[in-house]
Amino acid sequence: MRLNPGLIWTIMRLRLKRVMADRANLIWLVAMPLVFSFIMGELMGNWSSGSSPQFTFIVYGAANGGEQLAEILAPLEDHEDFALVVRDTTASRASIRALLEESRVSGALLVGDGFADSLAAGLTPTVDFFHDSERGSSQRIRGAFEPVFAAAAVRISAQQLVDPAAAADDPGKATAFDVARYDSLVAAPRVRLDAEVLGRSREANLLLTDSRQHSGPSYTLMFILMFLLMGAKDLVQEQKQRTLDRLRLSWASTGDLVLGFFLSGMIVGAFQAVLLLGMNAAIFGIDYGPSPACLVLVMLLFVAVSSAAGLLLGTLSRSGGQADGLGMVLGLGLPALGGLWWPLEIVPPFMQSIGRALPTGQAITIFHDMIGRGWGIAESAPMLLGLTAWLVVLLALAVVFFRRAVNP
Amino acid sequence: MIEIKGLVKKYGSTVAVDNISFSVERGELFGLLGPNGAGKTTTISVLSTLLPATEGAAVVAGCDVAKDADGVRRRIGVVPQEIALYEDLGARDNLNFWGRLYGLSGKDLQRRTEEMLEAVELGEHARQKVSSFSGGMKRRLNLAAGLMHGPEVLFLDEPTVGIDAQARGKILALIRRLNEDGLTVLYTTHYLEEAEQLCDRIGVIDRGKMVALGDKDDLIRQIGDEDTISFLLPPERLDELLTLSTKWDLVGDVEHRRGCARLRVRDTARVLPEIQMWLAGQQLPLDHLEVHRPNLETLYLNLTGRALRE
Amino acid sequence: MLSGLGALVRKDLLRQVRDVKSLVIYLGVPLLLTFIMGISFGGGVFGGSGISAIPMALAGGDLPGGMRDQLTQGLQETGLFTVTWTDSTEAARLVAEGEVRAALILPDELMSRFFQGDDVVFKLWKDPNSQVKAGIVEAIMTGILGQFQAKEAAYRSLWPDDELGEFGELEEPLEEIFSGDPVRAVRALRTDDGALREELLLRFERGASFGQSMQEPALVLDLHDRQDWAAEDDTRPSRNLYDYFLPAFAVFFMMWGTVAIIRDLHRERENRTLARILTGPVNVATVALGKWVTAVIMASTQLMVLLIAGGLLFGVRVGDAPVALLLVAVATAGAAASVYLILGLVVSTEKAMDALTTVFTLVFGMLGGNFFPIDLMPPALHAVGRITFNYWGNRAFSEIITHGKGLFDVVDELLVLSTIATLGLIVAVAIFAVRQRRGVAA
Repeated sequence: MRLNPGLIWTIMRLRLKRVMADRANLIWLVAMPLVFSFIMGELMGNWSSGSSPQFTFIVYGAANGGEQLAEILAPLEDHEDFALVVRDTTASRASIRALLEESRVSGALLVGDGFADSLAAGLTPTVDFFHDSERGSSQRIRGAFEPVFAAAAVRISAQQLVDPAAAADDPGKATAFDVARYDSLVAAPRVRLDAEVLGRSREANLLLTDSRQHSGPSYTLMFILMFLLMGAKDLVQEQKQRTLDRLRLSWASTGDLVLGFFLSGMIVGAFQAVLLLGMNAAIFGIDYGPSPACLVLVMLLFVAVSSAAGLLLGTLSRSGGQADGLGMVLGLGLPALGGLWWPLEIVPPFMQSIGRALPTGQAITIFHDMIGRGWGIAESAPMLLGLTAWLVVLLALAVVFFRRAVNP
Repeated sequence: MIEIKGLVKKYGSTVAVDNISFSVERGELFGLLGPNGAGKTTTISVLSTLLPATEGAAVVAGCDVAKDADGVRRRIGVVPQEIALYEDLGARDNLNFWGRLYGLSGKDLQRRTEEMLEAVELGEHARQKVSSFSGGMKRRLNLAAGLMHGPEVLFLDEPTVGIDAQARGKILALIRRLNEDGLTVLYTTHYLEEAEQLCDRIGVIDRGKMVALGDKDDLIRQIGDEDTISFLLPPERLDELLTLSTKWDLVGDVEHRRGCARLRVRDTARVLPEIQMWLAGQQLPLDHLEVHRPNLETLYLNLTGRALRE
Repeated sequence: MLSGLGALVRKDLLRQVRDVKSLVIYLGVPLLLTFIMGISFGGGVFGGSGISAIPMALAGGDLPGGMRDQLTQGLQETGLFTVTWTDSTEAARLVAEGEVRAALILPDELMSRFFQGDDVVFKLWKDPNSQVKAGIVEAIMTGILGQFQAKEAAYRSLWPDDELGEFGELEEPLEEIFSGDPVRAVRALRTDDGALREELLLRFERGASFGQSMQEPALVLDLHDRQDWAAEDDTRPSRNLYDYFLPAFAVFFMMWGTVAIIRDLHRERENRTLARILTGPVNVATVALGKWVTAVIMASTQLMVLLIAGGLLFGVRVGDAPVALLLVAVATAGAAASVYLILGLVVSTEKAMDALTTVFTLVFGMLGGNFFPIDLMPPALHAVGRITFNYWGNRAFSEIITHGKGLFDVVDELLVLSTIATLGLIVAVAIFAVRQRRGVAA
């Protein structure tokens, strides 16, 4: 195939100029990916634990609880997740339910009449905890309250074994309960769990539970793919407007045209990648790992795959509308399947397998491994090879169909 | 049927229509002639209630365009310069829609649609999507859509732009037929031949101003019945021509622009052979020798100093 | 006016239905993505989500066999974990390479350290790329250990002098005695050392008494989950994330679909059919209403198709209150149509409208809870979310679908949506009229 670099560059320059001439493109190129990364990363907080906005947790009937209740609730005061509002007055179950249904509170505790007396008498008083298992804020309150309540229940159960008079005869009874010792032992337990992330930096505890580490790269990938797929309709337009014929009638060979279109897509994609990855690093502090070579390689491969996919779509589509429709299906479907919208680990195993076989799934997996595990080219070789395979197949198909389109 | 007095339309500081006045009688086919950007479409937009006038008054079919827009709209049909049709629908679907918009329904609608399809010779293509039509077919359907509801006045804004001679001929024939049936037509164009062929009276508009208005033949007569002879002439031979021309009873002076000499003569039959002989004797080219009868082009040139298509 | 309106709506619907591309974008893409979401989260006929059988490794060699089996069994019985025992080096490799989500490393000489009163630290190594599953392992382990910590602290606070290391010489190490085999523990009492036997008996009695006390909790926490009281008669097998996301995504796609229809106003302006329509016997209010009605019909149909498809494929219960569902769909579509009509009319070109509506839809989608439950957002943004029409649509759908509510329970939402739709339409018509007066309507 005869190639003319000068002509290829001319075609690339023309396409780039046309892309840049349309200001609306800047929205898709830069603005939307950043807005998405920012809002999704920031608002969703951590997937598993999360940054904690203040929610309201009301305790009704605190007057019934006495000092024991105050002791139970003490660790929850000044909790960073929620504002604890303690009311001496009681409320009906119906009204508490209504408050929860109307989202005016995220959780509520109802302490019934005679709570303190029952407790003192060694009976088993019940407190009602109202929450909504489908609401994150409600679950967080429950998550914070339950351990505190369980620890209090254990303490009170233990205190019921205190009987100084009977202790001499009954080995099952104790003469006293050392509250201070209990509190200190609970606060600094002898048996404990030491959790750490086995990532590339144990000290930094860098972890993808910070969803920005996920949303930054994933929306970068998604918008690159979308933009290059949406560019397919430009190719259809060139065919319709006969400018493609005109180009073909010039010095340009089919190879020049294919490469011109493909490389101009790559330049746009690379520009978008550099801008978005850079801004994600600058604004959100995302550290892409110790291997810049792997970062460059994965982005180049993904941009090339996307550009080839856009070229193929443009050659296969018979109208701009068709290119748009299919572009939309692929531009949204591939990110959804590949785990750019939600982590692949939460979908069923067969969906995970599908996801990892797609270029979107492969690219985001490489990103995760670079960021989380500190992997480089060698460790990510299987996924990089997967992307390369996609590139070869898509580009080969694009060349074949492009030839057919321009030489009918 | 149409009465315009002192119509002005400004866009900011730009004056698109500058104090024009004219009237069109019932059953008349009036041509509004002028180059692109002269203000023809703006005038039609004001008359069809799309644009409010800055100053002046206009009455169409007895209704004031400013005060009784609804009344105007019910009585007029508009065929815009653009193919204002739904290209993703078929010809019949389009006509049905425009008919329904004006309140036609049921059998009346069906009958009228078929009539119009036949009138514009698109009956065989009724179900075909408009996007697959040729330019001429689209233009014909564009015209039919404006006629669906049987308007009293039809505004035609350059209805033959961009189509071939044959298709144009069909459209002009249809317009003539409609006019003969009593339809009042306001026809804008920048094609002089169309205006000459079609219109009874003509208004010439240039840069928003009405520069001439009246009966077509009267207008042409205003500029006299002298012919214009033009031919190529190198500047150094101009003096010789001037000397020679003193015996030809010219109207006005000999003009010489861009290597071309132009003379207005009263007696073409006498002068033309003399010029031919002189040119041949001087071994100057004869193939650019032309005689122009006075027409609207001449009129326009006389009025504005520019050719209509410049 | 009515015949004009009818003609406009009929024409637009005809165009929509005949346009295969719009139908693909309108229904095909949303159906595909709904399907992907459904098989990812919805279960239904396609099985459950990925949050099951989380692979985890356990390491630490010296736990007595019985206790090791108990721990394995206990973890596997939760249904959440698939447990592999290995050594700590291999466990680190498995975690680092993502083959297990987490590894629990038991300390060396666990039992000795425990009975000698030394610190016992379990290590939990988590996969850096596991955003959810490693978190689940940690949460469950923390919960189990929390209970144990409280009980140990309580025991030691009752009998502070009960230090474990003060036992005399025993034939078997103490950790062996307490390794979970009661027969072996009772045999330990055969020691000739009377004082030691007394000491052991005392510990047994204290342990039994303490254990019994812990079995009968001093306090009972009665959990009232809104999901239970909201659907006490609900017999559906299970609910999942998809119950929320099906309507939320349907509304989001409906927003795009509405944009596509309202955008046609600009196309009509550009190909001059709008100007031609406005020279006919219809005013701008009729034209605006025509687009609005078309958008509402198409958008509510789209919503219903998506919801019904989700219901049929993934068992989301959408059919309990069909009238309420339809009314909410129409009201949400009405509000969307009005809002987008305003956005379409404040700009002059299709391109400008595309840019404006894209930003608007994505931001409203996020604020209104179409990407994730609004409840997860900080209160300030939660309040902002309420100004979005899609928030009210999402809320009403959630009430009907997730909570099994009926028409009367979503009256508030319907009122808000209808108000937005009506006021929005009035504002849109006013803008259109102003544009017409200025001569820029068409």
